[in-house]
Amino acid sequence: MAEPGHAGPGPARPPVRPPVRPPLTARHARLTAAVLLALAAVVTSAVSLDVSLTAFTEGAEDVGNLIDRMLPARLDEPGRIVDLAVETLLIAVLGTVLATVLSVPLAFLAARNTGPGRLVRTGARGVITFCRAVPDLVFAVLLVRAMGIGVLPGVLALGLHSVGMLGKVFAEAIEDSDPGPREAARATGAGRLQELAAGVLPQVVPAWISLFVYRIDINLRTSVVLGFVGAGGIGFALQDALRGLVYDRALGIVVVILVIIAGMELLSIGLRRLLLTRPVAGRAAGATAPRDTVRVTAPWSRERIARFGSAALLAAVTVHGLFALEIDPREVFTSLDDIADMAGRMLPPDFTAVGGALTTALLETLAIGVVATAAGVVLSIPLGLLAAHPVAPHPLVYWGARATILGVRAIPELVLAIVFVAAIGLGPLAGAAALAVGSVGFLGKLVADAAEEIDPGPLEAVRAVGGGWWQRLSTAVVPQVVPSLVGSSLYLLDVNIRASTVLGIVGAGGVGFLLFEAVRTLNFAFAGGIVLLVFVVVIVVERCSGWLRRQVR
Amino acid sequence: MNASVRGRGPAALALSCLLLLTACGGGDGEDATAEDGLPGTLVLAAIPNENSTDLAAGYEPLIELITQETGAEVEFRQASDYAGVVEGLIAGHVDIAFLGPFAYTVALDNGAEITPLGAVAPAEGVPAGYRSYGLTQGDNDAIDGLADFAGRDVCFVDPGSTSGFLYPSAGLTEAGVIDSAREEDLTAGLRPVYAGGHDASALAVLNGDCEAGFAMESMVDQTLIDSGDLAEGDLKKVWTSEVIPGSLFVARSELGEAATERLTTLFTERANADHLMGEGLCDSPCLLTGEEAWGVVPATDADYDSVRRVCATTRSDKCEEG
Repeated sequence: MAEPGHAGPGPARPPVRPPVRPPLTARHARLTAAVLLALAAVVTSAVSLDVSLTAFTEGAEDVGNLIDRMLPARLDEPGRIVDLAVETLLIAVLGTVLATVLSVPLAFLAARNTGPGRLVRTGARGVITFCRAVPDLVFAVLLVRAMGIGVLPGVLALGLHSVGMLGKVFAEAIEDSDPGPREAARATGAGRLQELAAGVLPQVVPAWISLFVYRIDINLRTSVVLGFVGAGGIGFALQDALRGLVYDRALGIVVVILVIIAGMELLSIGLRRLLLTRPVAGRAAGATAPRDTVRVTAPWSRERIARFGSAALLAAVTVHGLFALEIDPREVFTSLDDIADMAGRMLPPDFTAVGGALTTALLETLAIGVVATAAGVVLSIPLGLLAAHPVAPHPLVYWGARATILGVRAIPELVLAIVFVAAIGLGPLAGAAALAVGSVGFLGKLVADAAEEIDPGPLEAVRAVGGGWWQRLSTAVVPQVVPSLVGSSLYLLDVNIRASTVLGIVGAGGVGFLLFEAVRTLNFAFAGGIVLLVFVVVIVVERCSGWLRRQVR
Repeated sequence: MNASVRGRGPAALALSCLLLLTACGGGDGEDATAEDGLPGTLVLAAIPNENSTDLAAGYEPLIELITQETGAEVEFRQASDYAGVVEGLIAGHVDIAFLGPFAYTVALDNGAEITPLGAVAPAEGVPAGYRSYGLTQGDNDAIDGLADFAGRDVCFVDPGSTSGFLYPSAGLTEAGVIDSAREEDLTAGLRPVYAGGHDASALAVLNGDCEAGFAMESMVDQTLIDSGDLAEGDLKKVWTSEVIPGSLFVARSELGEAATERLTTLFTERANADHLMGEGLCDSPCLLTGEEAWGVVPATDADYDSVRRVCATTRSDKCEEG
């Protein structure tokens, strides 16, 4: 261990040797208790699911046979598939733009350091969490019933459900921001909005941009499901191939999707590098400003040009999307009555439709979620760290790790699920395994991005005193990313608890499966009951996450 | 920051415990065999069909019957998709499955080694089999036959459904609305929507979400009328399919001839409402599986040749051997 205290030369060194071990505090005790509790939860869940590793090795041949049938990937009409993919991408962009417009104000209201009051904060957080608790497909089904089949309900469904993620992570980015610039803005007499715009926004925008692009990626893959309810696009083609067991054709479509999300990932990496490398400030200002006026606007640095350029591009894509998909946003307002009417059919929530099976399903869902998350964390944290610039020991490792994470993300849930059905058969274990592997695409990405946003100071300090790779990782990187690791891991638990597609396909049941069955059979009151139940669970996870993040910060 | 460094100790502990746990968890559950070489635990898989609010209810009497007669424990798995059930069959993780006729032929095409045990019949003395309807709203004068489906929003059930996709797509191909049931031709001829269930499809047509759609006859003539969701005359039948062979139970061939024969006898002689009610395993009305069937009658692979023929007329890639 490179203790800075030992390396420091000097007469200035205090005579009393600082303690090598930090003292035992109440916080330490609380953290230990939390870790033990989490462990107990993982152990209980794993025991209840009969987790065994031998099951995986025995199924290797069957998986080989399945993959044999999937290869080689086949793309019959590349032109048409690409057209469909672009159409779907536009749907995803529109949905994400809508979600961002809704999420930014919600995030400011929900964040601890910017929310105006406890009541408003709780309310804003409730709205965000609710959007997460309602699956996009359920939003879609309800909106299709209210507005008829078309692209607009699909866009709205993606947008509303995305608020659940974007609102949450935007708010967390605000909470993690440095209060300094804000106080500086306030000291100059800036109003409240100016204070947020000048003091907070510039700090959170790099994180927001990558989250925004990431959400487009998620929505592109989600709209694969929405294609089914009439939203069109590549989703219909992919689902048709997958569910008809024409896997080679499905894989060809997956390759097209992979290329698109890889392109977006590169765009996101490029933009983040531009925004995270701070330009040398103020060089241009004096040179271009006329002598007698005081210019307070920022200079047109490369970073600023990129920022404005991408904003203009996004606006153009959004407008193009509205026209190309023939969407009339006014339709939302004309169908508000019908939408409210549909939403009203979920009330009063009913919990009794399947009797005790609901409790069993909830417990099973929780057990699967906990096991999948634990395994997912073990798999994704090392991979995610290697996919972060400050950590990767070599560019090859960096690109390898990024590509792995991206590749996992591109695999449709149905494929992941049937691979594990072939390996270990139908049931909760296959579901947990498929979710765990799928977690790599999600958590790996979040970990990688968080590790790239760390303060480079400590890293340089450790390097300066001759610290090696492991020492840099353990003393400079990990301590800085722990709060976000904790937050992301619990977010993964939240995601895995809400997962329903994978669990449905592997016959593992759970509340997600019941929810879709309820919607499919038009039992909306029961659907309302399940949504409420999931909402409560998600709120509890969220609270735990907030508490833990404060403990490790 | 100190706290987070300290946090690594417990985290490492957690990790090692987890690994230990997963490593030690395996090994148990080597099943004892029941009679006739049947495994001690039989995995029965199905996808939910219609009245899913009952979820497993339609299978409970069957499960109890199998347990009573063979001594085997039955593990029931309900998957949301045929892909899961079929892959489970192919890999040998599913012992008995309830499949639609189309899913049965697709499973065989993809290399599943399965033997039909019997097909479900709607009532005693009636042969296994059913029909599919092409539907539109009762007062829709613009649609009078499949030819009028061209270019409209049309609800199907699911790409793996026999009466909700395969036979309708064959009908549409014959009517010249689509060139084939391949995805690109299907979307060129009309705007397809997969509603997810026969009830959802029929009700989507009723609500006007789809201008036309397809659903199996018992759903339209009976189930939805009994449940009050649909009244006589709400939907107009503009097309009726030829008779579709019944949905069937299959067993994994690897169970062995003796075992499959024993299961065949069990299913075709005793898996019916009369026997089950006589044994007190089922209350009246005793409706089995998600299709609300009376019971299981004998079926052979040859009974499904008509499905293969219809599949061929759709020229779909789903009907080619995988």
